[in-house]
Amino acid sequence: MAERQNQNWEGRTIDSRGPSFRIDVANPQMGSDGSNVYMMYSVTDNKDVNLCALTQGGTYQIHNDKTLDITAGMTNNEGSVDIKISSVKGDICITANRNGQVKIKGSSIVIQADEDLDLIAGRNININGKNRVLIKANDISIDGIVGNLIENTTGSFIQKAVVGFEELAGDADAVFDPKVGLDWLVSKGLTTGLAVGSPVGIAGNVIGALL
Amino acid sequence: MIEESLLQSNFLGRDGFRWWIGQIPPIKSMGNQTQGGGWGNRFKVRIMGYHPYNKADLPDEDLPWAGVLLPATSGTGASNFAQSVKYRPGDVVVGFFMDGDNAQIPMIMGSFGRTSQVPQDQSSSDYGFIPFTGYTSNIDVPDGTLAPDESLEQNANSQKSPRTVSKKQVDNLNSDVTADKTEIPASKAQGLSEVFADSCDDNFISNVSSNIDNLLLLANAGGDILADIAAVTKSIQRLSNGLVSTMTKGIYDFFVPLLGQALNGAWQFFKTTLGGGLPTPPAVLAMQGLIQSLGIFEDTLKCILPKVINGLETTIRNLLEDTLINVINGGICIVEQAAGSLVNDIAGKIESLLAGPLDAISVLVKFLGVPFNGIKNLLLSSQDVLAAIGGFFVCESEDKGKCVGTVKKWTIGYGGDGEFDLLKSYQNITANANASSLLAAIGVEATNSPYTKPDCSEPSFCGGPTVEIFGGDGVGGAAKAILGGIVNNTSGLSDITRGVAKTGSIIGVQITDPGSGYFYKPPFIRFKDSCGLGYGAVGQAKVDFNPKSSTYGQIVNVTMLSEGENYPIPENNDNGTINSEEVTVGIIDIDVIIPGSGYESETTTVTDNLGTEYTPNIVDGRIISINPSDSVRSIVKSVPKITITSTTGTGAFAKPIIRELVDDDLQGDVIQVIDCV
Repeated sequence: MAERQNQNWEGRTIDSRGPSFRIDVANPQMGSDGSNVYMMYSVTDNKDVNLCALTQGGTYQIHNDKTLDITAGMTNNEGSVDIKISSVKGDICITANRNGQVKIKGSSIVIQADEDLDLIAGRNININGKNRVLIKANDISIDGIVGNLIENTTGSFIQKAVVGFEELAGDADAVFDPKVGLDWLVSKGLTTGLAVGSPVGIAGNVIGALL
Repeated sequence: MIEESLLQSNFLGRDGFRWWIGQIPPIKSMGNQTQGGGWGNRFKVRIMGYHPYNKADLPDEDLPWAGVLLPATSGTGASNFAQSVKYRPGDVVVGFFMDGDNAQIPMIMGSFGRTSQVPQDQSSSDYGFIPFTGYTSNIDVPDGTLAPDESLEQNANSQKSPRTVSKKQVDNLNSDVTADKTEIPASKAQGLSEVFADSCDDNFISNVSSNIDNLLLLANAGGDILADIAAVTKSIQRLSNGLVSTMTKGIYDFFVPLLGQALNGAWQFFKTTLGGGLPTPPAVLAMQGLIQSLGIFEDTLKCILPKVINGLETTIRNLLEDTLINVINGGICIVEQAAGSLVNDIAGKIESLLAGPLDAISVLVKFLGVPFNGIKNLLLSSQDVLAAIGGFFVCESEDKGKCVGTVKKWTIGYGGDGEFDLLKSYQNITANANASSLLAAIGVEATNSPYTKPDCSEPSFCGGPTVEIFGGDGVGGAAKAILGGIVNNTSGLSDITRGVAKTGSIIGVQITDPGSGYFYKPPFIRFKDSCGLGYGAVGQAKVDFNPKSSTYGQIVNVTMLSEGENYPIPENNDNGTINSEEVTVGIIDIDVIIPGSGYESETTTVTDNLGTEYTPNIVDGRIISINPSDSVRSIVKSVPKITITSTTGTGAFAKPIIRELVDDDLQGDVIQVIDCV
């Protein structure tokens, strides 16, 4: 590989303070986002690197091999703004890669969106209000497959399944209650009554005999 | 002596000013001075012409101390203004004697910088004045974090800093047999990718892709690869939660609309076979049992997620180990194969867990009214069962702007990326999963690896850079990279460069399709070549936001913020790039980035570095446009520079717009050709 020609080394200033720290200004060697306007580079005895650089592409990079600890406000008054992070035009993206968690804690937490607020989880979303959980909107809908909220609204999997079964439609709960199921069937005229036992076992035997 | 003393003025310079040149001896000769217990800024010094060459005659420890004069910018320590003295053992210093010809009180004024020719050996125990290294037991030679260097010269190889490119690209640079192989990556994070949170699209694939690509990079970079495999295994295991949930929902979605009809069918079947057409007790019991079994099926489905996920660890770990063994480059086709294998395994596990409950409702299955060939086949039959694609809870009429034009993925150090073609990827995953399933079904175990094409990300040749346009609130857009600053590669690098004879920089972008609908959010620009050889080119799209303009909402230009280097130059000037060595390209317009203020037409000139003059259009002291002459075009082969000179105005900044020149452009009076050197 050959680097480009006509590199401007005239403007380069190196301030190298030993093998562990340096400030390299206007080094014309190309980087991933253009050459660096400046780079501060430091290394620990354990070879962990800290890098701060401004690229010609305009990105200010801060890379640290170990922890980046940002703390502010020791002498501020209560209620002051200790840390402010803002973007002027674009997104703010916080990503914990691999298996990291994103934790936010405060006496109260406000998440405000001008438009949508989306919560997405690959597994569970848990909302635990020790006192109250209030969901308030003009239009509230739920969508799911199982669960008591579903059973009382849109219908669970089994409820939806029996909707098309004309003779049991709307009364699926009764069918699944082994204590009332047979009585309910009797009330529906589906049977004249039998001793209540294990419906599954009985049915299994019956089905087994049929098959 | 006494007489001499009496005759002296003891005033610096009046009794003679004696310059000297000497060498700072090894650090051990200075004892506690350099170990934290020193006084002032002092170094032992062996002075040429005053002190013997042979250390047997004058040991280092017996050399005089020399004080150090400090530059005006260092401070003296007063009121905490201070900079440390940085002389190192072996340095050749120059100074004078405070006591003139008595030569007992040397002072160091400065030093001779070292060149790369200065030997970096250990100091001689026998002789002084021999050059030796400044590294000591307390100042270790850097190893892997910085190029060891004891020179300070005005050249590109002196005090090289680590490069802010990925390890892979550093390896490419170091492969140049003619170059100084001292390139070191500045950050191990460079080149790793991450996927942003996304409420619009299922990002399972891009997340897995990021994990696998990163694992391959980390394996290449060294380190604790077993720890990386363990962590990535856990990560993909967690990511699989969403996939398994989506697949589970796919099973629900398949059965729900069919079960009513199936229950009717089963009910009729029981009445016919057990009751002669009547709801006899055996028929009712059978039906009740069947519905109860359906409930068990539902309960099993509810609990399937943790059971499947917990069983995936070995599968994923094996998959990753296979990846490291068989795959060189990551990429979407690799992820599709890996995900296909994973999906096949998950589908198998789900089928296995549901086998019993499904058997209990086998009567129902008979009356579904549609073919059902098992859970696994159901799950692998459609990419829709795998992916939760599309926004949720969003009305058709609502603004979906949040889902449009955002950066989905970020490569550390390199910037943002667009999105995958999810539909295509899931089709490929389904195909790969089905292929795995089919092979297993017919007992073919040709290979234990899930990768039938582990080299699918390896390009057969290195094409020129492409201009990727993504994001923004519009659609479309295409462009060609204009290549300049072309250099020949050294011979013998075919393994690394894959036969790329020339590389170059991207000096401009020619828009071939301006796209449309970019009304408030311009798209992003990314330059890529198939082999990943090039780096550093950065472009910013410029869109016409004027509603009255004929090009409203279109991409009108790409401003080059950095031209990059090492992008492959195609052998033939193919349709994807414009080679400035084969095609005439030049400045067709000037893009005013910052209009500045205080400019006046009479006192403002605009030129490029070829000497071509341009006419600024100034309104209220601001340069709102710069117009090229109708008759002159500067032909360029590298990035030109626009200079705005004014005695009144400040702050304006402009960049040239470079395009392929057509005949009309070239019919001017004067054509200047430049090859910047």
